[in-house]
Amino acid sequence: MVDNLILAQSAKEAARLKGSNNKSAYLAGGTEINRLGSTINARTLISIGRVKELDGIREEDDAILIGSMCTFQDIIESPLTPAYLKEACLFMGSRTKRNMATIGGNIALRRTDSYLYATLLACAAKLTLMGKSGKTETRCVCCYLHKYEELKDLLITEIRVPKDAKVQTKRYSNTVQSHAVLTVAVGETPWCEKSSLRIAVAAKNTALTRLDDISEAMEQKELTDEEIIKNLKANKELKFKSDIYGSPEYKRYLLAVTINDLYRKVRGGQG
Amino acid sequence: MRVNCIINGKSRSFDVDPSMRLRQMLLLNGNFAVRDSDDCEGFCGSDTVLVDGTPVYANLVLAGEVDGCEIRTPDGLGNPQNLTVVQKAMIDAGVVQSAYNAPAAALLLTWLLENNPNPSKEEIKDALSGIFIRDAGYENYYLAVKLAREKMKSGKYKTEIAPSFRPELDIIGKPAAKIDGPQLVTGERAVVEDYVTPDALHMVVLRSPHASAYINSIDDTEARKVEGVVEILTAYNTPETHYMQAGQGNPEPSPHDRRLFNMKVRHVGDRVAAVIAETLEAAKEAVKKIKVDYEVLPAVFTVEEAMAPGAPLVHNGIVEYRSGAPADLDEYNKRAGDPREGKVIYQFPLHADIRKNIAASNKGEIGNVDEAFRTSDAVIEATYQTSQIQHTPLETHVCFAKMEGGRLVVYASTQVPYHVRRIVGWVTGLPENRIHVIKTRVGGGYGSKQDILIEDLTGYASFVTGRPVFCHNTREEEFIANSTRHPMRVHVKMSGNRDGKITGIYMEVCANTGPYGNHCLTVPMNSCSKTLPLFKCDNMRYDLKVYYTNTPPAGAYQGYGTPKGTYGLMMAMAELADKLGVDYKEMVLKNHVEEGYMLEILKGLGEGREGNVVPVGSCGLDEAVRKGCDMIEWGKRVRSKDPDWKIGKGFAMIMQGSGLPGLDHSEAIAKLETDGTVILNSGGADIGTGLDTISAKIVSEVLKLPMNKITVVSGDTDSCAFDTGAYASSGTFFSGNASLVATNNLKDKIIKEAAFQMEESEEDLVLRAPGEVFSKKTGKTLSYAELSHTACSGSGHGQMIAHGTFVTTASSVPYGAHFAQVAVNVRTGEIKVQKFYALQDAGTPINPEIAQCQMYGAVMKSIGHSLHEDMVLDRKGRCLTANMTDYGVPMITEAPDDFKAVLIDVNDQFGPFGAKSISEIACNGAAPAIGIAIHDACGVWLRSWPMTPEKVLKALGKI
Repeated sequence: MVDNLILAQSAKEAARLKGSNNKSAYLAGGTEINRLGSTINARTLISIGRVKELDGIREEDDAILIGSMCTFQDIIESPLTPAYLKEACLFMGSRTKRNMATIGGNIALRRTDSYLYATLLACAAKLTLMGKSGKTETRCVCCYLHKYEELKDLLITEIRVPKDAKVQTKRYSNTVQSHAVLTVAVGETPWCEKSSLRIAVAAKNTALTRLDDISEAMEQKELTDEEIIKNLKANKELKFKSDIYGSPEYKRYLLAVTINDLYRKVRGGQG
Repeated sequence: MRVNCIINGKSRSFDVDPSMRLRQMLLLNGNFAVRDSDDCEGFCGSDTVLVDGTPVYANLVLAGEVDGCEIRTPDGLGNPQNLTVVQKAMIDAGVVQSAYNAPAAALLLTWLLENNPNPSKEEIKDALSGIFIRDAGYENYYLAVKLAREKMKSGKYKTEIAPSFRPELDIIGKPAAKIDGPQLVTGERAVVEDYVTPDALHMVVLRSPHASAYINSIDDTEARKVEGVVEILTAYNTPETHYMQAGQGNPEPSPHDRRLFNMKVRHVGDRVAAVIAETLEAAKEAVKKIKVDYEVLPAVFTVEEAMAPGAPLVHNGIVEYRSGAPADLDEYNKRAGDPREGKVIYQFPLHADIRKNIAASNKGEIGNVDEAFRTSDAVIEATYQTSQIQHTPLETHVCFAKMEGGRLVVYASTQVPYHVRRIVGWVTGLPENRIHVIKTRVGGGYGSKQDILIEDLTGYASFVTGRPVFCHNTREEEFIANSTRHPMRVHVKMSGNRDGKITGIYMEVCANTGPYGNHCLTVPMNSCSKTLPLFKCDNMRYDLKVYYTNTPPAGAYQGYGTPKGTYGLMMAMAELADKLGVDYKEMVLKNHVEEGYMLEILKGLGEGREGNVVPVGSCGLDEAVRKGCDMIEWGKRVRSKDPDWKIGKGFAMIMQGSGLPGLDHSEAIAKLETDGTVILNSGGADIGTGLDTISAKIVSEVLKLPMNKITVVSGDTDSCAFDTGAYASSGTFFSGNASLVATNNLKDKIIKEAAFQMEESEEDLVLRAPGEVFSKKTGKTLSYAELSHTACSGSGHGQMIAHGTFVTTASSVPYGAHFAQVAVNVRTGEIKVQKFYALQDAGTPINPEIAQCQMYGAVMKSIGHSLHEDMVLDRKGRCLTANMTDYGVPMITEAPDDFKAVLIDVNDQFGPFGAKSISEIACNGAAPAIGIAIHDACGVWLRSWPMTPEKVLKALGKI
């Protein structure tokens, strides 16, 4: 039950309020927090909808910087946005919802049916995070995922994606409006330290994860569908279960063939 | 907190709670056209508004966030007397049907055209991507935009709205604006929720968490202490009257197998108690405090489980018969179980056996099927399974009831106002003269509002409290506690010869009716009676059994049992053609019925009675098949550039009925008012399909009176005469014919009175536009206004009022064929419907543009049923897909790229001006057409709904 709504006027104010109230939550686009069945339980909501500094999309060196309160539709309409990220934003089927949902909100939610995570992981996106003191730090999106408990109170202020990454993403869902069973992305990004190839998946009810074993193997040689399936079976994070989205065999098979298809597109230069 | 904003151009100020949503604030401001279809799921788009010029879902915005913002709502566009171009174009394009979301759609299209005056099809699709339309489909929204653009540009439409029929008639068969369109598209007060008074109590139902359990006790002590609680109803304080909720003719071919509250719950979501309180919040809080002690029982969820020896019994109480009781009934009842099982009362025998979970059964045969199987060139045998699916009307089930002057007034969103009155009468004990049912506009029915699922309890609650009571189902309740489409297992054995002739057909239908027997006989009967008569085959047998289970209840759903039977039979015919090496089209053409063919198979297929053997009447089936094959280029292989995508084509012939001859009954009363206008009181229930417009057109055509001088009042049990209701595709045929009879009778009275007043002979008088009597002999005219005024002036013969009744044994069957072209990705299993052509013979389409939209809407539903929609239950009977997102209804994105609705021109001999039904039949073709196309594309037969990518991959041996 929400008993306090604060309209923050600045990012610093929002981060400070959040840091000082453990029963609070940031309110971004509202498409999740105000939605039926939302799992977010907060007494105080800190609305960041009016914080101007969280808006806007700009270019800086080899990166595109996206304010965390940019909506999916803002990102689609911006001429600066890389095509691969526009494609991921278009996975949200409802235009009306795209007018509301924000990139920062989607990242903070870490839903396993996320529209964006696979793409952001595959391109090695980075996040600018602000703490209650107003100090900012930069983390890669993968780090944010893994250290979420440590970082969760920080305000995502900006998302940094590479201009020149090649990313191919595919989303599978019953209907466009349904939750995705799988969203798979394969990317070649200049921001990787070891390997330029990144493979990531958002697997409903299972995991948001990078598939480094597979990408490292595929750096060496192209794998068959069967080899990828074998690798996936050994993956400890991807313990697929049978649910309304399908059987584990289906999900594993679909993931494997999609990785291969996207890999060929990326390496074939369609990214 | 204080919110200052501008709403539809006017400054407003509100004190809001931090948790208040924007929609709630707008309701306080009177913007009730901002509706809610999904309990804040952000899916349906009924709550769409513009905030600072951007479309958003008002339920997902907190009111406190719009301080300083400018808000536009659908009711801020135009009003019924002054429609905007967009609103008018939507009505003219035929998309304003049940129209719960029409105001929101009008707002979105207005926003689109304001920001992009020349949108492409993709841009229109994008604008509408966040709004769910279940009634009219999406196709004619493109037309609406086109019309609006033309009107804005040149002041008039250039595009033909729809084809016209019957040039000899003035208004029948021509596009004309739906008469309730302005009310609906502007969001004027129209649906039940708009009539709820501020003093209304709110009712919330406590529902069973168990699929099967006896209730040992209910402790509502703490619940009654919640401030504002007025009454709590349970099995302990409500009548023991057994009844059923199906709105069917009386006596019903459904067993009376439930009470308002039972002592045994039979599905997750079954009623346990109802709290009636001053506020919704109090009712919800009290529901949580009710303590129920259950004795949990084993349950069955499929027909296979239900028919297994020793299966748990869903009903195991006393059985009674109102007529036709078997001789061994006393012996049978000695095996009854716990008294908490209650009773099952049959109005007449349904060949049931509740000790085997059989709710009803039937079988019949013509010719010698076994001999045909023995002597034919090929026989195929396959089983087809359909899933449990939900109607998902945008307006969930809703009722408002109040006591007034010792009478119970029920505002109902219903297809069957007179059945509502009868059943509410049963549970309250009130006679029909003390119950007034007012059917409001209905925000989507599709069969689910043929059942009295909420009016019984709401009416009773108002009756016992003496207070107005409002009850509104949540979306989850729609899934778990309402009627759904019966899941069915259709086993088909079919034989044929190498010349393409089908020699024998056997159909075994096993239907799952869930815990109660609403429509339990008639839905499965339709699987046979509306499919087998498509075939010119001398040897046919059917055997159907209906099982009780502990799934959410089943009931009527647009198409009734026919979509399932059609899926089985057409798929089987395609499989047989494949086995015989015969072209499927040639097999269809060789075996379909034509006008005059005597339908012997109908003998055993009545609705609980002996059926009528009749010849095929007007029939556009052959033309539909041939024309559709030409359109889709049957036989021409289409190849994709991507080798993983395979493209295939399929089609299915379809039929339905036009009401139930010998059972349905419609009445109308036509009155000439004192100024020469006409009010027609129709018993028919317009549920958005344009039935009132049909009645108005009939009056206009017969009396040569402009449409704006005709008012139709319908579905009001006080002011209108009896009608069995809007189901079984009866609206146009039965209620329309009653309107025609009443109008013809009024015409006779007008002529007679005019002859008296004009001192002419009746034979010399004719009616002519714009509403006057003309003498062919003398050239004299008398306007209806003068005529009626004189008749009512104190010295005349009184008001001209005519009554019309329509009953018949004649059968007017609509036919058609639906065609699909699909692409199947053999690597991922994905399926895309690229083309869909629906060709139907509706007789004379009285409202052609509305008819086409009904076809689009029904096909979209059926595409959903075939490919996407599914109520998935877990092993405890809990529905895992009880919301719109998980359930999977198709939106505009899922619509075929190339989608056409074609009306085959056939003039029927029995329908009003040659009309037959249109809508239900359009649910029947998609599943087999798509299934056959999938096989054509990639060589696999998908024999169960929904046909999913995973099933494709399994059938291809990929997983």
